[in-house]
Amino acid sequence: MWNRERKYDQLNKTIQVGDESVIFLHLGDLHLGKRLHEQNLIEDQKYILDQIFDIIQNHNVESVLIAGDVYDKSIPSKEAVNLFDEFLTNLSKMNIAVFIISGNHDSGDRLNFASKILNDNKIYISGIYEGKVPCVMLSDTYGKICVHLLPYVRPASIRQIHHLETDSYIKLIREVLKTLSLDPENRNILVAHEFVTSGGALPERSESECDPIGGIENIDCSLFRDLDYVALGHLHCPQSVGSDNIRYCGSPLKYSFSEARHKKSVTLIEMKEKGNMHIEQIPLKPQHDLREIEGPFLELMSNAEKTEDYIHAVLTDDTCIIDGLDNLRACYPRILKLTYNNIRTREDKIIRPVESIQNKSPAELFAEFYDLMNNTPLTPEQTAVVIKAFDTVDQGEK
Amino acid sequence: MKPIKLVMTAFGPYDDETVIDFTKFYQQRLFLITGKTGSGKTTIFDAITYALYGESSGGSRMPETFRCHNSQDERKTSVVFEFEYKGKQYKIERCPKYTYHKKIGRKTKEQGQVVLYLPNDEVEEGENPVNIAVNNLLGIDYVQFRQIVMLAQGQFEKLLHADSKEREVIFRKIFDTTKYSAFQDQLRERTNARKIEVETKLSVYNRDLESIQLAEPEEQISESEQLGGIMKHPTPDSYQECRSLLNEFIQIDQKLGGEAGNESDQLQKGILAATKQKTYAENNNNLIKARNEAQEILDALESRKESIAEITAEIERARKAQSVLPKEMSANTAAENKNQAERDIQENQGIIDTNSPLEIDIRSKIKTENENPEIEQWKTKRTQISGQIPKYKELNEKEAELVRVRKNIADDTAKLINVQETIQGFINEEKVINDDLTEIKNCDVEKEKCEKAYQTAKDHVSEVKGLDTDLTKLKEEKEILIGLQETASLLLTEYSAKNTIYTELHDLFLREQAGILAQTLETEKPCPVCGSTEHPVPAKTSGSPPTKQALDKSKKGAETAQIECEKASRTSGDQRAKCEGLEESLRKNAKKILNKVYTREELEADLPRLINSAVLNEADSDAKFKELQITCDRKKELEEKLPQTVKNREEEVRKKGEIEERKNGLEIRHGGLEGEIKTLRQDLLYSSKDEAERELKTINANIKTHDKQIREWETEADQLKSAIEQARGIVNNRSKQMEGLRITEKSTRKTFENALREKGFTDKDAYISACRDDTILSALETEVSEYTSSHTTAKTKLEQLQAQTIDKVLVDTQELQTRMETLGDRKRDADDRKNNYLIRAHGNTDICKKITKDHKAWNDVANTYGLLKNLSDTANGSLNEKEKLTFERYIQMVYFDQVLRMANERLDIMSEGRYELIRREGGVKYKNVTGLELDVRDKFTGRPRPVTTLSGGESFQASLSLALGLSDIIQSQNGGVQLDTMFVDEGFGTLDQEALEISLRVLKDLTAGNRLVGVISHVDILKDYINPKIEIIKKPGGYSTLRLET
Repeated sequence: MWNRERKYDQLNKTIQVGDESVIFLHLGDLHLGKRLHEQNLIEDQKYILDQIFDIIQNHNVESVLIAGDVYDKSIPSKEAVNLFDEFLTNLSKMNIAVFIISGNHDSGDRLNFASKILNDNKIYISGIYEGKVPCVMLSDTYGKICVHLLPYVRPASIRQIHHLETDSYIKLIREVLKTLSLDPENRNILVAHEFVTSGGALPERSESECDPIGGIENIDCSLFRDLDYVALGHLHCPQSVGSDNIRYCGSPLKYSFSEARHKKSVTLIEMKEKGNMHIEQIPLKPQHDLREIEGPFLELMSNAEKTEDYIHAVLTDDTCIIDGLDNLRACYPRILKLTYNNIRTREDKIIRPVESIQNKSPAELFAEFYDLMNNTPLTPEQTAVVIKAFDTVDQGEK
Repeated sequence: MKPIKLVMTAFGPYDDETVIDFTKFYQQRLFLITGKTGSGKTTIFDAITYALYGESSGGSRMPETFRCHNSQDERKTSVVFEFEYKGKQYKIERCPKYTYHKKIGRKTKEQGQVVLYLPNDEVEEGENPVNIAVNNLLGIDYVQFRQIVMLAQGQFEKLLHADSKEREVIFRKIFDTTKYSAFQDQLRERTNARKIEVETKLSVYNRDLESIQLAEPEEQISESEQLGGIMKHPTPDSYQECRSLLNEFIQIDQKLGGEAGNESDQLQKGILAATKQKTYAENNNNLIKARNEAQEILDALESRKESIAEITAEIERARKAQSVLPKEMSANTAAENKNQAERDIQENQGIIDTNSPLEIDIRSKIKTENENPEIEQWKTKRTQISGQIPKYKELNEKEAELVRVRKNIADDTAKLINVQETIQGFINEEKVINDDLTEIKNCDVEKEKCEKAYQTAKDHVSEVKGLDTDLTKLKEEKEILIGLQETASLLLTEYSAKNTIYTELHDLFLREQAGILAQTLETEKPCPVCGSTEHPVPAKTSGSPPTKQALDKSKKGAETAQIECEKASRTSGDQRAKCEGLEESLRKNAKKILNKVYTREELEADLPRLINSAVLNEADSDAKFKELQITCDRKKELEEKLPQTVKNREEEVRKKGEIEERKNGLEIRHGGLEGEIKTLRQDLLYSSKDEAERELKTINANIKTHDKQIREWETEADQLKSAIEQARGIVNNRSKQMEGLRITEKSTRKTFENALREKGFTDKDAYISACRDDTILSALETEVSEYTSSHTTAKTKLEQLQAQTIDKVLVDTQELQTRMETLGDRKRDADDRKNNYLIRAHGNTDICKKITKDHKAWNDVANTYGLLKNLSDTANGSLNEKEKLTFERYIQMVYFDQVLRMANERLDIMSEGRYELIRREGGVKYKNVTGLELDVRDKFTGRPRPVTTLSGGESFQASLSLALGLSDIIQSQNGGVQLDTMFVDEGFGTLDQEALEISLRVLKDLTAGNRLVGVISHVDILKDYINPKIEIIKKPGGYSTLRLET
C-alpha cells in the first residue's frame, strides 16, 4: 500500500504557467445502468454524459472527480460498462486527469480492475481501502494540489484493518482520516462517498440513495475542516454541507420521483492559490425530464401537451379509473407510475386502531350478523337461545 | 420475544458446537443469513422453532432427523436457546430422542431431554410441562408462531394462493373460529332435535286420535261416522271439528247407556219376585219327603230289638268272672316263691365245697417263698453301691479342674515373656527421645535471629528498587523537556518569520499609503502629513500593494505565532524546573539509602548490580529462616512424645507383676487337686461310675421280679376266700325263709275256691269260659247304648214331621224355574248394552282430554321450532334467496378485511401505489365459495384481477404484505403478545434490483420499534445492502460452520 502512494507521487502534472488555475469538474452518483420503474435509463444517461462532455470542453476542465456510485449494481449491465468505457476513453483522449472512487452501489473490487495500468493514462481509480488513503499530487503555478481518494469502505473492513473494536461509525472514519497526510502548504482535495451532515441539520434526501444497512452512517462535517475542498458523493441532490467547500455534486439525472423538484447540475471548481477557490454550478438539462402531475383524470387528459417526459401521475378521483394507465399513456407516452390521492387513500393513511373482534361478545357478533342477513334484529327469545348455545359450546370446549 | 443466543450441537449440518450471538445485531436490527444452497440457513430457524415448540418451522422436518448425520456418535444433539421476553431472560435446552450406534455396534437410544430455565431461578423439566409453559409465556401456539414470526420458505405464499376453502381452514386455526362453527352446529342440532320433537308430538296426537272408539255401523250414530271419516286422514287442523264431534258422540253414548240401565233395573225386580215363589214351593216339597224317610228309619230299628237283649246277658256273666280273677292270681304266686328258695340253697352249698381246698394250697406257697435268704443279700449290696455314686461325680470334677489349671499356667508363662519384651522396647525408645532433645535445645533462639535478618534484607531491596523507578521517571521527564524546547524554538522561528513578513508588509502598506497620498499631492497644496507645500520627491506606489486584509491577516498571523511561541517557552520552562527538582530528590535518596554520594550517571551504572545483590541477600536469609522453622517444629513434637512413652513403660511393668502373682496361685492349686484325687480313688469299689451303676441295676431287677410273684399269689388266694364266704351267706338266708313261704301257699289256695262258689260258677272251667277281654266287653256295651238312643230320636222326629205336614201336598216347580230363566237372560242383555255404551263413552272422554293436551303440546313445540329454524338457517347460511354465508365465514371475513387493510398499507409501499388486495364481494350460488376469495386491484388499469395473475416477484411482495398484515392482526388480537422478532426465509430471488431496494425499505421499516428482523437469502445484492450478516460456510464432509459479521 505504501508503494501506491509513491507511484502517485511520481506522476505530477504540469500545467500552463500563468494566471490560469486548475479547473476541476466534480461529478458523481452516475448510477449507470439504472432502471426506473422498469424503464431503462441508459439512453438518458448517454445523453447526459455527452452533455457533461460538452461542458468539460467548453469550460476547459482539466480534471474530473467522480465521487462514487459509478454503476447502479455491483455487477453492472453490459450497456453501462460500455457507456462508461466510452466516457473514460473520450476524457483520456483530451488528456484530462480523472479521479474515481467506488460508492456503496459499486463493487469496489470490480471497479478497481486494471487501475494500476490506467494510472499511465491519468485515470486514478480507488476502489478498495487497504489501510491508507491514497493521494495524487498535481502541481500548478500556485504549488501542489493533493487529491485524496477515499473509496466507500465497510465498517467491518475498517475494524479488521485497523484492529479496532468500536461500533461507532464516526470513530472508524476518523481513524481512516488519520492516515491522510495533509501538508498544509498544499491545497488538499478529498473525494469521498459518505453521508455528511452539519450540526443537526438534515440534508435533502432522495429515495434512490439506498443507505446500506450497517454501512454508511452520518458523520459531521467538522471532520473535514483541514481540507480545502471535499468532493462528496452519495446524496443525489446538489447541496453543500456546513460550508461551501464541502459539497455534494448530486446525481446528473433524477433517479426517483422524490427528486422531481431538484435542479440537477455539475460542480465546477476553479482552484487558485490556497484559500482562493471559485465554485460554480453548471446546470444540466436531461433528454427527458422527470416530473409529477396531479389532478382529476379528465383534466389531466384534456390539459395534456404530448410530452416525452417521465411522468408520475397522481389522480385525485375518488374511484379507480378503469384502464387509467393505458389511457394516460396516450397523452404521456413515458408515464411510469400511477397513484391516487383521494379521500380514501388519505384516510387509509390515518392509522386507525384495529377494532378487535374480541371486544365484542359472540352473541353481539351474531346479532349483527343476523340483522345483516335478515334485515330485522333478534327477538329476545332468539337472543336467549343464542346465548345458551354459546354457553354450551364453551362448556363443550372445556 | 427477542433471541439472545443460540447454541446448536450436532444439529442439522452443524457438527461442532455452533454459537450465534444475536446481541451483535441489536444495533442495526436487520441482518442477513446467507450461504450456499443447502448450507443450513433454514436450519437456524428450525433450531429456534424446535427449541421453543419442539417442532420444526416448516412442519416438514421431523425432530429425529435433526441429528447431524455426519457427527461422531457420542456427541449429543442439543439446542440451547436464550431469549428475552418482556424484559426477562429465559433459556431452553432441548435434546431430541434418537437412536445411534455405539462403537461396539449396538443401537442405543438417547433419551430426549427438555429443560426451561425461568428468570426467577425456577426450572421446568419434561416435554409437556415445558411446552405448556412456553405456550403460556408467549401467548401464541406453534401454528400462529409460524404465521407471524417465521415466514418460512414458501409457506406464507400459501395464504395468498389458497382457495377459499383452504383459507377458511387457515383462518380457523389462527383465529380460532371453531367455536363459531360449533355454534352453528349447535343451532342446527337443536333445530333438528326440535323438528323430531314436533313430529313425535304430532304422531302422538294422531295415535291418540286413532284410538277413539267408534260406534258399530249398525248403530247408525252419525257423529261417529263423521269422526270415522276424519280419522282416516287426520290433520292438526281438523282438531276443533274432531273435538266437537267427539263430545257429541260421548253424550249420545251416555244417553243410550242410561236407557239400557233403566230397563235392566226393571227386569231385576221381576226376577226377584219369581225367585221368591220358587223357594216357597221347594220348601213344601222337602218337608213331605223328610216325613216319609223318618217313618222308614223307625221301622228298621224295631226289627233289631231281640239281638240286643242277648248281648246284654252275655255282658253280665263276664262281669262276674272278672271279680274272681285276682284271687286266682295270688294263689299261683305263693306256690312259685317256695320252689325258688329250695333251688338256691342247693346251688350255693356246692360252691363252698369246691373252693376251700384251693385256698389253703396257695397260702402255703407264699409263706415258703418269703423266707428265701438270697433276698437279703441282694438288698444290702444295693444300699452300699448307691451310697458311693456321688463320690464318683466328685472325682470327675476334680480331674477336669486339674486339666484347666495346667493350661492356665502355661498361658501365663507365655504372657510373661511378651510383657518383658515390650517393657524393654519402651525403655529403648525413651532413651532415643532424650538424646534427640538435648541436641536441638537451642533452635528457638536461632530462629528469631534469622527472622530479623530476613526482614532487613527485604527492606533494603525495596528501597533500591525505588531508586530505580525514580531514575527512569527522571529520564522521561527530561525527554519531554527536550521536545518542548524544540517546539518552542520552532514556534519562535515561525514567529520571527511571520513578524518580518508583517513588518515588510506594513512598510509596504505605509509606503503605499504614502504613495497614494503622494498621488494627491499638488504643488502649492499642503501635504496632509507634514504640511509642506513643496513636494520634491513624492512617494511612489508599488505595483502590487498589499491589501488591508492581507496586512491584517499577516499581523494576526504574527500575533498568533507570538502567543504560541510564548506559550511554548513557558511550558518548556515549567518542564525544566520539574526535571531539576526530580534530580535533586533522587540524589538525596541515593545518599540515604546507599550511604554514598552518587552522581546520576554513576547511579545509573551501578544500580542493576546493587539490586541484584540485595535480592540475593534476601533470598538467602529467607532460606535459612525456613530451615530453622522446620527444626523448631520437630523439637516440639518430641517434647510431646516423651511423657507418653514413660507412661506406657510403667503400665507394662505393672501388668507383669499381676501376671506373676496369678501364676503362683495357680501352681498351688494344682498341687492341692492332685492330693484330693488320690484319696478319693482309694475309697471306691469300682473303677468307674458306669460300672457301679450297671451292678446296681441288675440287683434292682432281681428284687423286683421276686416281689411281683409273691403279690400275684396273694391276690388269687383272697379271691377264693371271698367267693366261699358269699355262698355261705346265701345258704343261711334261704333256709330261714322256707317255713313262711309254705304257709302262704296254702291259705291263698283256699280263698280262691271260696270265691268260685260264691259267684255261682260250677267249676273252674265255667269260670274260664265266662271270662271276656276288656275291649270286647266295652264294644258290646256301646252297641247296646247306641241302639237305644237312635231309637228314641227317630221316634221323636217322626212325630214332629207328622205334625208339620198335616195338609200339604207336592207342588210342581219346573214352570217357575223356566219363567225365572227367561227374565234373567233379558236382564243380562240389557246390562251388556249399558256397559258397552258407558265404557265407550268413558274411554272417549279420556281420549278427548288426551288429544286436547297433545294438540297444545304440539302447537307449542311447532312455534319454537319455527324460531330455531330461522336462527339455524341464518347461522348456517341456508336462508332462501339470500347469500349463502355462514356465521363463521362472516367472522372470518371481518378478520380478513382487517388483515387486508394492514397488508395493503405495506403493499402500497412495496408496489409504489400500484397494487391493492381486495376481497371478492358479491353473492355467489355456491356456499363454499363466498367470502374469502382474494383479488388484486391494479391501479394502472383500475380493474380487479385474480391474484394468480401476479408475477413471481409481485406475488412475493403481496405474500409478504399479507403475512405482515396477518401478523399485525394476530398480535393486536392476542393483545400483549410481544413479538420483537421476525424472520423471512427466501423469496427475494424473484425480485429485480428496484423491487429489492423497495422491499429492503419495507424490511427496514419493520425494525422500527426495536424489532429484530432476520432475512435468509442467497441473493448477492442483499449482501451489499445488508452488512450485518451470518455467513454459513459449507465444509467438505457435509457439515457447516458459521461466521458472524457486523
